[in-house]
Amino acid sequence: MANQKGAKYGFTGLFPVTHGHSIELRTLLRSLDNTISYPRGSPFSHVPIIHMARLFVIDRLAYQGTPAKIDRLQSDYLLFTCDFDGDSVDNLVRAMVSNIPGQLAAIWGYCVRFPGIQKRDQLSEYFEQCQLENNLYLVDQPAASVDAILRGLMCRRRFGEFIKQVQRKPRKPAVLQRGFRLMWRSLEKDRPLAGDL
Amino acid sequence: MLDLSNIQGNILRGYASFPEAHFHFLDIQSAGEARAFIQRLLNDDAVTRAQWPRKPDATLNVALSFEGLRALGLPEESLATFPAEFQEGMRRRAKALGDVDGSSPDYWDDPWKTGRVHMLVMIYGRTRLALEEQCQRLRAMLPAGVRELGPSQPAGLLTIDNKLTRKEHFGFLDGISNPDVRGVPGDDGNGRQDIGNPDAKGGFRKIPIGEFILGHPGEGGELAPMPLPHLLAQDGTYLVFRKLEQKVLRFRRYLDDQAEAFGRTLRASLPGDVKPQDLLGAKMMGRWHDGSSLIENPNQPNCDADNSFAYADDPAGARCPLGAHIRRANPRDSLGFGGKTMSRHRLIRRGIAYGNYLPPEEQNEDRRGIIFIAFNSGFDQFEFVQQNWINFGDDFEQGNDTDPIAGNRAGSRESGRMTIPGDEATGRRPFVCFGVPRFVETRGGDYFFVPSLTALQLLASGRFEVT
Repeated sequence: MANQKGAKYGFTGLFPVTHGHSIELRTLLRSLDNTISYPRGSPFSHVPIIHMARLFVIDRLAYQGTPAKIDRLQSDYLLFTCDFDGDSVDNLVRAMVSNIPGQLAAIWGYCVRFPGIQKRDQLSEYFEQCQLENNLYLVDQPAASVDAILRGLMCRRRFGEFIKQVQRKPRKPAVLQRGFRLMWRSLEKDRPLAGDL
Repeated sequence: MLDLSNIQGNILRGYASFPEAHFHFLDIQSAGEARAFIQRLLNDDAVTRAQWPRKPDATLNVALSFEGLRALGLPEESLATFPAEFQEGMRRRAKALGDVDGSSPDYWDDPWKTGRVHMLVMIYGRTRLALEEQCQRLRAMLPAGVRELGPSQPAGLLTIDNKLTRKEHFGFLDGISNPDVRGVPGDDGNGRQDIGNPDAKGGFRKIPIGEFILGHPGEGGELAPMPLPHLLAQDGTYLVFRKLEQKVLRFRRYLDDQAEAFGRTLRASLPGDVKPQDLLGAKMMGRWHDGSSLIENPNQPNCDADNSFAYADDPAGARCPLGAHIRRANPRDSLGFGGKTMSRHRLIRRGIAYGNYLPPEEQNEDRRGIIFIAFNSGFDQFEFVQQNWINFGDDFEQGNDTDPIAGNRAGSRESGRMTIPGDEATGRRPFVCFGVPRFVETRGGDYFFVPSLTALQLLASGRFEVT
């Protein structure tokens, strides 16, 4: 099934936007990466299983020139794609409701027949109704959780800092080895959160 | 069916033998007078086409911004069908393009900083005299209702050691590589080696013209989205114009600062006249100053500006670093999938330098840089390269590291990093450049539409029917 790869699920959903509300929805979406309101990056950084989320509003189809005809949509759509650690839509919905209920309600409040966040079953069903099956799901690291990837990035950063010191001033091998072991041990203790790096 | 006489010049074949240029920025106050001005250009056969019966001494080409099309009187139904990026323009998209901090519109030059250019008139000349005559001719034709926004932009090939050269200000030979497009006759006699997209056999194949000209099939066989009416869009294209200031002293100083530490990673000493700075600079660019590629010439330059190489034999970047400028700007076969993840991101580049070359012994802070000009049938082509390959590194295993030459550096000036892989064959150790400052700063620009000759006639007539 092309929604799942290893430990990762790729959700793609098309949610019809309530007529006349696309501009407000777009304005809201554009405010979501404001680092003053969201120092970790965005509201989705606070959902521990989410690797990446992408949202935009589709309001027309491209015209490709004659002999193609001009196609019109019956409503605008919110496209929401999300890579997360899990194996069902319910995992994603549950995680969003627990961590970012306000933002969830604010965004999807602009969508047709949004059932609200009170009843999680209804909400999961709503997401499933709007879901599109992926034809192809390419995942860089299918087995790596958000936590594993953040720790990998932290490794890279610490190692980089180590190299910087060493390049500037060559050291004797024994000194180098001591320094490297210290750096390596420090990595085992730290657990970065989204937005730290 | 390709009608070269309907497409404007400098797109499919560059104005290689026109070393002098001047860019005029026009503001349309009267739609009627602007249309009459375009009609006059057409009546005089003054707009240079992709194919000429006899090579002129000077060329003239015209492009319009979104606001320019509106100022010409194009109706809202037609304006609404132009791509979102074009409607917004480059300044509004500054954040997405990495034009922030020192490159932000706050630091742009006029007219880009305060105005919105309606019409861009590009003039090239075989000689300085021919250029000046053409510019005078243009200025004499301008009606009262079409004013020139100041200052205009002179540009031209650099003179280094009393010779005209295609080198840019950092000292590297430029314009070596451009797309090899199907249906475009021959080359312009300058021995260019244009490069297509990867084929299934480790070589390259020609690129469908629809990637660069509207109304023709592109990669994948379909047409790029076209604005309405059809006649306005057919055989037109989109132009990306960016004034990029190059911080030459900063670049040279950085290489000097790193030379000693970088030198320590070299096992064998460098050949004769190659300094560590030269190799380090080449590692950042992907080519030596003389244009020879690192892939074919990993240890020293060889005067041959080659272009038919691929990266398959250098998967770890031992010869040409994975994050080097030319490898980012055109990954060729290095992203796998038979080239399918790079084939729709090609750009035709016709950039030209501005400002005087800074000789190696001198230190003035005169303004100098590149007028970056690219053609694509959709702005997704330029913006993809800019956002994913120049200002981001994940596709090249470089994480967040940006292009060492042209990339933005977020936040503080010296936050950049570039990894230069080692080479097991020669024993050269890896080296990581830290604190790489921003070497290129944006000073202005915008997105333009380049109409075909027929479309210019349509615009001049003012008779638009949007079905």
